[in-house]
Amino acid sequence: MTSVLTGYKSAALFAAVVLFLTFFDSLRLTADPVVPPFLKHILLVCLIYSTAALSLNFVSGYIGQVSLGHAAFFGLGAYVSAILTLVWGISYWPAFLCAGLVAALVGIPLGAPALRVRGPFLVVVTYGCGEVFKYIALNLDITGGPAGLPGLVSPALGKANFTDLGPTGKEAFIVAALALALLLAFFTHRIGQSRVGHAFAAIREDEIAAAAMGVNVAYYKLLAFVIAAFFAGLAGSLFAHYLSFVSPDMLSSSESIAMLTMVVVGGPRSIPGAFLGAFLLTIIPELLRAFKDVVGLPFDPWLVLFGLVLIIMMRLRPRGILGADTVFHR
Amino acid sequence: MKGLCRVLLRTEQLTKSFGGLMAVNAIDFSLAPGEVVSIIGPNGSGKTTFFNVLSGILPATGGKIFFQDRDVTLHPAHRRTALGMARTFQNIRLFPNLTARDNLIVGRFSRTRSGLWDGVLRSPRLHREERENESRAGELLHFVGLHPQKDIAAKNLPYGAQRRLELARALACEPVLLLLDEPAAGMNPKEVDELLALIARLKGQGLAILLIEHQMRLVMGIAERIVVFDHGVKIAEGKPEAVRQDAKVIEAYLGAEEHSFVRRKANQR
Amino acid sequence: MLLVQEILNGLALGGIYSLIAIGWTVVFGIVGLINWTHGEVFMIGAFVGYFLVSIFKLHLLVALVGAMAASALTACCINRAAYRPLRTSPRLASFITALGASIFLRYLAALVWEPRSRGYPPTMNLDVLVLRLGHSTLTINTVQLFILTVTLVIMIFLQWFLTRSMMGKAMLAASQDFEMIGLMGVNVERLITLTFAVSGLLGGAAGVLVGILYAIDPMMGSMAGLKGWAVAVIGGVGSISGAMIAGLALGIAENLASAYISSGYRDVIAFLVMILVLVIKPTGLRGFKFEEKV
Repeated sequence: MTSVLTGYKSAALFAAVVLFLTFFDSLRLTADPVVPPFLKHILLVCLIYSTAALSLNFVSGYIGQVSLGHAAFFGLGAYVSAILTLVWGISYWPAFLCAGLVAALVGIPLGAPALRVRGPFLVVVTYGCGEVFKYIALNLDITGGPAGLPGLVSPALGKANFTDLGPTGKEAFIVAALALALLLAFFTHRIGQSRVGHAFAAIREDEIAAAAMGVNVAYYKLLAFVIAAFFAGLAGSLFAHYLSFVSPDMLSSSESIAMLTMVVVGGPRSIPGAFLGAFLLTIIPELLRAFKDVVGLPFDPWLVLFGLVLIIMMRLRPRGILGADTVFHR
Repeated sequence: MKGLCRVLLRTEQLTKSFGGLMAVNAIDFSLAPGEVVSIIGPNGSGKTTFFNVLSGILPATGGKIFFQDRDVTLHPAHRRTALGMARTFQNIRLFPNLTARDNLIVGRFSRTRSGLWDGVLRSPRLHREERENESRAGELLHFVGLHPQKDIAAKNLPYGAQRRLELARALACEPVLLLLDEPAAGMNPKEVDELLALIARLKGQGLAILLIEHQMRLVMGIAERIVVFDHGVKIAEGKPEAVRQDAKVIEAYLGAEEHSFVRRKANQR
Repeated sequence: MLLVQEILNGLALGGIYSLIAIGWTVVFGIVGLINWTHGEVFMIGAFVGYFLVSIFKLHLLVALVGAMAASALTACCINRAAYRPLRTSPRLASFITALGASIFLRYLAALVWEPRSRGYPPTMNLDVLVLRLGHSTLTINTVQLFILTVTLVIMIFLQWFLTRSMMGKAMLAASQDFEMIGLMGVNVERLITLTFAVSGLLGGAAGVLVGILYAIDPMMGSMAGLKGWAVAVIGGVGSISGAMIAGLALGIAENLASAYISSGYRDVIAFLVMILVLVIKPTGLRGFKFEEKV
C-alpha cells in the first residue's frame, strides 16, 4: 500500500511544482515576471513528451517490443486534428478526441506486424512504417506537403482561447498537458497492476508460455499498440495546436528515436522513469544549445553527445535510471 | 460439470510434418477422464511435438484433435487452456523475472475475467479476483511445497523448485487434463518419489494426466497405460508390464542386436 | 526499349544495394545482430575514398581498396568498442548502443566534414557505349560499367572466400549454427571480427561506388543503411544469394517506379516491400527460418 501512496504523493508534488512555475507570475508577487516564457515552453514540451514516452511504454516497456516508429501515431494525431479543424471547421476538443481515436484505429494495422515478427525485425518494420507515414505526409495535398499546415486554431475553454488565458499564452497549454500526462500515468499504473498488466508481463517474459497459460497473445499485443497510439495521438494533437502548425518533421524517425530513448533512459515500465527520460532528453539539449551560444561553438554539441550518452548509458545501466523488474503486488 | 464425456481427449490421424520430416505420423490416441497415461520413446520420436500440437503451440498438419467432445484442431493455445488443458514444458518455461507467486497468478489467467476497465476503475470484480488469485496461489504453493519461496524470482529458484513451480502453474489453470513434459528430468530418486506422490494426489483428485517421461521409476509408479512412440508413430500401447516386454519397444530403445540379449537376461530371472 | 534501358540503369544501383545488403545479412546471420552502424561504415568508406581521390590524387581503384580497408577497420573497431562488451546483455541494450554509435558517427562526420553534399572529382573518361538493336538504342556509360564490374568481382571473390577458404567456410557454418562452431574449436571472437571486417569491406566498396554514381554527404548512411537492411530482409536474412538477387531487383524496381510512377515515392518502395515480406513470408526469398525450439 505504501508504495502506491508514495506514488500518488510524488505525483501531487510534481504537479504542484509545475503549477507553481506556471502560475507564479500570475500572482504578481514581484514587479517583473520571474519565470521566462521560454522556460514555460520547455516545460510544456517536456510534458508533451512525457505523455509520448508513457504511451510508448505500453509497447516497449510492458510487452517488451521495441518500436522505432512511434512518432507515426504522434504525428498522425497532429495531422488529424489539424485537418479536421482547418478543412472541416470542427471545433478543437472533438477533433482532439478524434485524433486519439484515429491514431488508435491505425494502431491495429501498425501493430499487426508485431504478431508475426519479433525483436530486431519488428524494430526495422516499425521504422519502415514510420518512414512510410512521413512520405505520405510529404506527398499528399491535404497534408500540405513539406511545409505542413500552418495557422492551427488554439484550443479553447468555453469562449476563451488558450492563448488568451494567462500572461504568456502558454499557461493553459501547460495545464492541459500536465492533466494529460498525469491521466496517462494513472491509467498506466492501474493497468500495470491489473489482469491486463499480468497479460502484458507474461507476454514480455515468454510469449509461448503466456499462450499456454491462457493469454490471448495477439489480442493483448494489439491492445498495447492501440492504447499507446491513442495517447500518442492526443499528445501530438495538443502539441500541434500549441505550436499552431503541423509538419512532417513531427513524424520523423528522429522523433521516434527520441521517444524510444526517453523510455530506455528513464527505465522501461517505470512511470516516473518516462517523465525523467522526457525531461532529461528535452532539457539537456536545450542547455547544451544555450552553452553553445554562450561559448560560441560552431556546432551543436548535443548532436554528437547524444549518441555517446546512449552508448555509455547501456554500458553502465542498461535497464535505465529508474527501471526495475515487475512486481504485481502493491 | 465437465466429467460426463466418455473420452476426454481423442486424436484422429494426427500429423505434424516439418518440411519433409514427419515428426508425428497419423497418430490415433484417446484418453479417458481421470486416466493417467505415459508416453515413452527414444529421443526424437515425436513425443514433445505431439504435446506441442495437442496444446496448440504448433498447428497440426493433418488430422483432428477432440477435447471434451469438441473439435479443437483449429483452436489457438489459449482457448485450449480455457477449456481445461494445461501443460508444463520440457525446457522449463517459467516467467523468469516474475516471483513464484506471480507466476501462479498468471496461471490463473483463464479462470478470471477482469478487463481493461476493471483494471482502471478497480471494480469489485477486480478486487474479488485479486483475492481469489492470492488464496489460490497460496494453496498451490503449499501443495508443491514452495510457499516460503513465494517472493523469489523464478529465475533464482533452484532447478527442482522450478520444476515444481511449473507444475503448480499448470494447476493454477484448473485443468481437467494435465500434460507433463518430462517433469522428472534432472531429478534424483528422492525427488522423483516426491513428484510421484504429488502426481498420485492429483490423480486422486480426478485429474487426467498425460505424461512424457524417461524415468521408468515414475512411469511404472503412476501410469495406468503406456504408449510408445518411435519416429512419430505409435509402436505399442497397453498396460505397463505388457509394454515393457514388448519386442518392438525393446528394439526401438536398444536396437535389434540387443533385443536377443535382453530376452535372454529376462528369461534368466 | 525504354524499359530495358531503365532496367539497365537500375542494375548499377542494384549492385550497390546488394553489396550493402550482404554486409547486413552476414552480420545478422552469424552474430545475430542488426548492425545499425552499417550505414555509417558505408558513409566512412565513401568519404575516405573521396579524400584519397581528391586530396591524395590516387587512382580510383587504389582509393577503392583504401576505402574498403578503412571501412573494414571502422566496423571492427565498432564491434570491439560497442558490441563486444554487451555480448551477454539483453538484446535491447545492444540495439540502443548500435543506435547511439550510429548517431554519434553520423554527427561527428557532419562536424568534421561539413554537412554538405559533394561529388567525387572526375575519375574516368565518361564514355558512353551505345548498343544498337534494330531501331532502338541502349546506352550504358563507363561509370555504370565500372560499378557492375566491381560488384561482380567482389561477389565472385566473396563466393570463393566462403566456399574455399578455411575461415570463409567457418563463417558459412557459423551462419547455420553459431553455438556449435564455438564448441568445435573455432575462435569465435576471431570469426566475429572477420565477419565485421567482411561487412565493412562490402560497405566501403558500396560507399565509393555511390560516390562516383551520385554524391556523398555525412547523412547518407541512414537511408542507404536502412534500404540495405530492407533488401537483406527481402532476400531473406542470412542468405547472401538472396541479398544479391533482392538488391538487383530493388535497384531495377526503384528505377522503373521513378520513371513510370513518380520519383517522390522512390524511397518508400523498399520499405513497403520489406514490410510486406516480413508479414507474409518472413524468411524472404531464400532465408533461414528462425524457429524457436519449444
